[in-house]
Amino acid sequence: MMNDQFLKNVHNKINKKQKLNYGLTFAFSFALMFVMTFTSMKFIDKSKMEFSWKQFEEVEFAQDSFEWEKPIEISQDDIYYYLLEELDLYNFIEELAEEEQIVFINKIKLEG
Amino acid sequence: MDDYTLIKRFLGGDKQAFDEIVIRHRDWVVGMAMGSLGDPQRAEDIAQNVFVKMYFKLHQFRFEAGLKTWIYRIAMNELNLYYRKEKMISWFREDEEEHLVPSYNPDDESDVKKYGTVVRNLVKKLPKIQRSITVLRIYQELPFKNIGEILGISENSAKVSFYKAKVNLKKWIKNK
Repeated sequence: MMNDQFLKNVHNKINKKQKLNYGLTFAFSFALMFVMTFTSMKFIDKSKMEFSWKQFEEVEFAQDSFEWEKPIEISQDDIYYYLLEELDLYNFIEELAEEEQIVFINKIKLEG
Repeated sequence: MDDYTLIKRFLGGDKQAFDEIVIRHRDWVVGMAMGSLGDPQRAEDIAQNVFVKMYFKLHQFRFEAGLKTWIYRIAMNELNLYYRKEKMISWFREDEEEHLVPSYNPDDESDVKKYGTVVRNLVKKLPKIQRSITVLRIYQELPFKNIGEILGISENSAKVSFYKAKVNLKKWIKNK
């Protein structure tokens, strides 16, 4: 009977200590996980921040250095050449030449 | 069934084997604690703690020494831990009892009891190794060879420490 009570007490103490050990292990693991998560998050955030800041800096630099193109002063010659190009200079010349040939031929015919 | 077989059974997962070990060694562990503390309730508590520690450390048991020697070591550590706690508590206790040495008459049972209490309280004050040897020698009546094995010291060192413990105890009793 005394042995029973003694054994019962021993087992109670063992269970209590086992629970305490499990609790301590859990608390320690949780704390370790928390610290590790916190540390890694800090690292990720930091790298993200640096990256974002760089991007922002680049955009800002691009905006600051942007300059509107000034309208170029166009000379009369430029306008002339521009118009010639737009109108297809070679065709124009050809047409012009053809006209001159026709005039020239007509002139011959008339003379002949 | 011998102790080693019971330990192997316990380590193999048989919890009943542990109970058998406890039942087998319970009486002398309680007796040892009782001898050095003089308080049956505390002695039972200390003995229970010894078996709880044994339960968690039995996987570390190397089958070189006997189980009894190993349990003695755990019990001595547990007693030393108790003494240390007592000492710490006594720092905060202002009204500490002064145990005066009664006039000793070996034929008077109450005198023997009182004297026993005084000696027990003085043993608490001995240095750790002297205290351990005194407990094992006086209350367990173990030979010095076994005491040396339990405490991991030589037989001669145990004898010398026991002599020093006796000198200290005599000196303290005289000064009271």
